[in-house]
Amino acid sequence: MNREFLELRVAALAAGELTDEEAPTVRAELARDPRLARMYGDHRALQRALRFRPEDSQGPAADLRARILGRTLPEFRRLYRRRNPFLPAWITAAAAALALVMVHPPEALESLDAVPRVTRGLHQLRAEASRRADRVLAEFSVLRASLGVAVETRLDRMGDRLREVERATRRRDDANASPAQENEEMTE
Amino acid sequence: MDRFRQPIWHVAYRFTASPDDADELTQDIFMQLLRVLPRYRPSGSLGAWVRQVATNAAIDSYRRRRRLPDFLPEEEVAREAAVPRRWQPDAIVEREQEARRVRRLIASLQPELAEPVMLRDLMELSYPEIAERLAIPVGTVKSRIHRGRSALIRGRETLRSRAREAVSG
Repeated sequence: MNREFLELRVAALAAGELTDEEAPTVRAELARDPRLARMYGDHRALQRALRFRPEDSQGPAADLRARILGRTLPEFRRLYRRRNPFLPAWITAAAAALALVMVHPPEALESLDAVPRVTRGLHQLRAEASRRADRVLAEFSVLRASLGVAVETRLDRMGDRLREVERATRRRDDANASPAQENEEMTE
Repeated sequence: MDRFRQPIWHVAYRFTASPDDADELTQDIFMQLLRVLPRYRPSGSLGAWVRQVATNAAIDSYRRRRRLPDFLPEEEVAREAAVPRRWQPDAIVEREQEARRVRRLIASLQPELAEPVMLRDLMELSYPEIAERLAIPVGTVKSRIHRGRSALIRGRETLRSRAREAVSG
């Protein structure tokens, strides 16, 4: 048997990795060669050290649970603190809802339906804003109060913008209607 | 946490052969579990996944220890050897000390030898499992494990020689 291969087999025998058929051949070589026998002894001692396991009476320290919690809880909070990525969009929707409710009294909202060519987005925003306005006002009145001057300014600007849109739409409608009216007068 | 604390501690003890070091390593393993928790896929066994994370964390701790200055100074070896025979620890304690010395020697091996030895002799993984984990052929795994074990035997002999010199010197 090749020397290097034999040494591999000796190490495997010491580690309990040889089958019942393979072991006798290697044991016979150990009986013949004292150097191999010493190598086998070294590997056996190494395996005893590597496979050393705690006694049944040994176990984790009594306070290990508390120590684990002490280290992991702050890290847990840092890693998994609840973040709402949709908050900015929600704030915008809430601000829009508040703008519509505060700047346009409910009856004025109805008049938007009479404004021709209102964009599809504005309709959706109005519907969504109405729904969210109810929810927001009911559940987050504290948040509204805390928005403060910055939101009020933003709401004022949004209100101005909505009024501009309304005026522009009315002017466009008037402009469209005027040529038709002139034609009608001329034909009469 | 309570379900896995004991099994993880036993994994840690296999790598350290010291209850105190195992306690420290267990805490490190739980921290690592916390960080990689989002990667757990429910399709697999939770126990097997936890065991794998624990093993990886223990191996990483060995890699970190390799970068430290010599952590088995000759003075410590001499100190242990100089203890009078009648005061020397009983068999169990001596085996535990030897187990700890061998684990320190593992940390001094090259990583390509240390990892297969740890996975085979500490975690008792099969050769095919180790081959798959390290993405190397089974034959290479066997070769590296044999080289690693041989290096550990030489290391143990070196320590014994130093101890004898310390006692006689």
